[in-house]
Amino acid sequence: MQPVWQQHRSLSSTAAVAALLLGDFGCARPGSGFEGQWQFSWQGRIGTEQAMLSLQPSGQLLNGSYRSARGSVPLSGSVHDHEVSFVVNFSGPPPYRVEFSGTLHGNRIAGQAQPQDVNGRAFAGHGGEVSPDYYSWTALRVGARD
Amino acid sequence: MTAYRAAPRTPALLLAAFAAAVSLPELALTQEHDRDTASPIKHVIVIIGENRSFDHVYATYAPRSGQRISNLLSRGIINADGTPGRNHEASAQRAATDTHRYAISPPRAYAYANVPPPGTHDAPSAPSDKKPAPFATLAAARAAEHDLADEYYPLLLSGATGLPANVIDTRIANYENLGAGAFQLTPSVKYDDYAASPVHRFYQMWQQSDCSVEHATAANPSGCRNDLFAWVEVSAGAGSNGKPQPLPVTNISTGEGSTALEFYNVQQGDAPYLKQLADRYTLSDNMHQSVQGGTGANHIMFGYADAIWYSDGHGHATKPPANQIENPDPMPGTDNWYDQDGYSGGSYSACADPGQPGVGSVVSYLQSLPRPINPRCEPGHYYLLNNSNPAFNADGSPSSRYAAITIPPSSVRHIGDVLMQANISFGYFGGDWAIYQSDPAAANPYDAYCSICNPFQYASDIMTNPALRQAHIHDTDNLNQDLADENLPAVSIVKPSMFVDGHPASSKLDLFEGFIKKIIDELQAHPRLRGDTAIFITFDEGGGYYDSGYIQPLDFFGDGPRIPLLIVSPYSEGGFVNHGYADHVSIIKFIERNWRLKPITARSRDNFPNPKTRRDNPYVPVNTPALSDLWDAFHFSAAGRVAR
Repeated sequence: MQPVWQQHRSLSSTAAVAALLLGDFGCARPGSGFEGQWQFSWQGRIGTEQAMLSLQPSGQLLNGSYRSARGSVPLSGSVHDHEVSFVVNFSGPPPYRVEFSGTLHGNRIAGQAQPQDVNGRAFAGHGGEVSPDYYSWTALRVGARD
Repeated sequence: MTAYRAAPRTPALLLAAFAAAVSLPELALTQEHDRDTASPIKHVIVIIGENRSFDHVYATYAPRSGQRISNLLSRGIINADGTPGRNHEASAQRAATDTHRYAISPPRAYAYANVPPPGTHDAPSAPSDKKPAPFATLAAARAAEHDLADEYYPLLLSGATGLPANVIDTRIANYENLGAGAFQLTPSVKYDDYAASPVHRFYQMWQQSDCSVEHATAANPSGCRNDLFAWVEVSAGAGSNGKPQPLPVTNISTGEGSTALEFYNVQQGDAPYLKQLADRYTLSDNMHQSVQGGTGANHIMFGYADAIWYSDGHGHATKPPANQIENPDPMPGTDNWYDQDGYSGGSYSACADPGQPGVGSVVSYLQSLPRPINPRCEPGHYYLLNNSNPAFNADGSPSSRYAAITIPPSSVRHIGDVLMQANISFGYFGGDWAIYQSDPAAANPYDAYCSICNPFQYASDIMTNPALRQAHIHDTDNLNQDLADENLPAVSIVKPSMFVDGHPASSKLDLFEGFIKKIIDELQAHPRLRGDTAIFITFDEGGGYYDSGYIQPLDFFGDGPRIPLLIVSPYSEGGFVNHGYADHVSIIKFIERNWRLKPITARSRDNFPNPKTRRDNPYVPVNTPALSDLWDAFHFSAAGRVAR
């Protein structure tokens, strides 16, 4: 298995190539501003996890994938105007589900993440340290400048 | 079966190549030195819970006839039923004022007639699958946690407060008329209920202890009065993180109130398993957290018998980023609202320089004592005083890629180095280590691994060597299997997941009882292993809870208030109470004495001698700084048994 940093690097390279092939340099596509590859980061209890999102809207339905150092898993959800929500089922162990919701602003999406069907207390760490009710996430369209 | 080996540290490269070339079980052959001990103890298990002071747990504990104890009951601070005793004034709290420069013993403002009502802070409101709370279903609880004795699993679902965060905890009887000092939390709040967590950070805890040579007496020569717990909670709380103080300032602004003054009552059924162990084995009533502060610094002191410091990652001390340097001086216009301190603020102090914020007050106090205490701070070294992510992820990659507040790799020598050099096997068993290995940001909500608790995760030599990581760091699942297999390393350091570590707000004390019961039950099922194993059950720190015990200043970093220590072994049976002055490093001293090892470094605390005391006061070492090696907590011979 590759070291984590190598996986990230190869993911980034893959994403860059994909962006080039798609000619995706920050221009929102007609009908959906969400379609394409997104460099994604979200806050965990200890730190920030990086991933690559592939979003494929079809009408108000959304499909795609979430790829990180922990592997690739499908996602599904919905889009409505500039709002997006989707669920990722992680394999764990044990399996768990996280719901993401966010708002599109140009080439950037920002929103909140909340675990489902598990005790969110695990996110909190030691009492008094970090205990938000939800976690924030951002995504930047691959090829776009922050 | 886990493979343990006692790996010689040199030549490291050769060893790493060897380890990569052969299967690890073959390396387990070098354990013969494990049994070369000065006592019948061949295995030591150290279980470290979270955040309970001695008086918070054992306030009303009454040992068997012939044994004495120092606690709230024996001091007359409370009665056996938890009501104020004839000497309740000894726990009385006062408000102080500190508006210009941080002081560990600021001037008195007024005495509390009643301590401020406790808050809920971040204790969970309701069982919920979507918000921080106990588990909603037993299936989810069992999926997340593997380390409880079976009958304890339902406790993972119960005990939510029913109240919002950061409000007065109205479950507590008479919350507006609690008196001036320590008060019983139960039964209006059930023992199984979640409750708030008091502040437990470095400068706050020095200030709460309120130490001044002007208060010193023969019985309390360090002059620590322990009377500012409530005031520091409501004035400073867990830190500003460099942000202005929220207005208006009230007794509930920090969300805590006087949570610190709460205690349980073992005579009314609280902490039943911890009481049972004290009745049967040996309890220390003079064990202390080794650093004034929280989780990370205390686990580091356990692993290194020293503090570690900010560096370039290659052993050279450097200055941390400005916002990570502690500044407990009050912000202008505030009363004790620290300028830079918190879980995303200050963490380090250059304590060799009395001009650094906060440092001067502590150092002046240490040097004012009748036997002046060396702060043990090297020039130019910024020591880690509060929590910071360790330098490495589980796979040895730098954790700074995930977490902003991260201490660089440490080259400070630790107890693992000593054990490896002597070919003594050891393992760190962390709850949820297996999950964390693929989840360094802890995005997985089941991941309750405590990275800051593992002293070896800060260390370059262990974490950059895959063979050493694999040999010495494991999940608690491995411990349970190894107990079943009777294949324990000589030294096992055991840390529960954060679900069951006993930390208030994020866990409960009864869950920690369930954690240790599973281990002890498993050990009892293996008489051969039980016969030569000693289990040390303690806590990382008092969690900011009030304690009435004597505090011995050892250096800039501590000691701090007392914490529970139970010693479970065939050689510590009998319901004894040990009074030798001890802290986490005392357990290191026991290991070193048992396996005939030298101290970790020339400056580490394990060089301190065993205490000498006056006959009428076994709690106060007259040869300070001194730390017990806990040898006298065991009866290794029939003669010893009679003497005790």
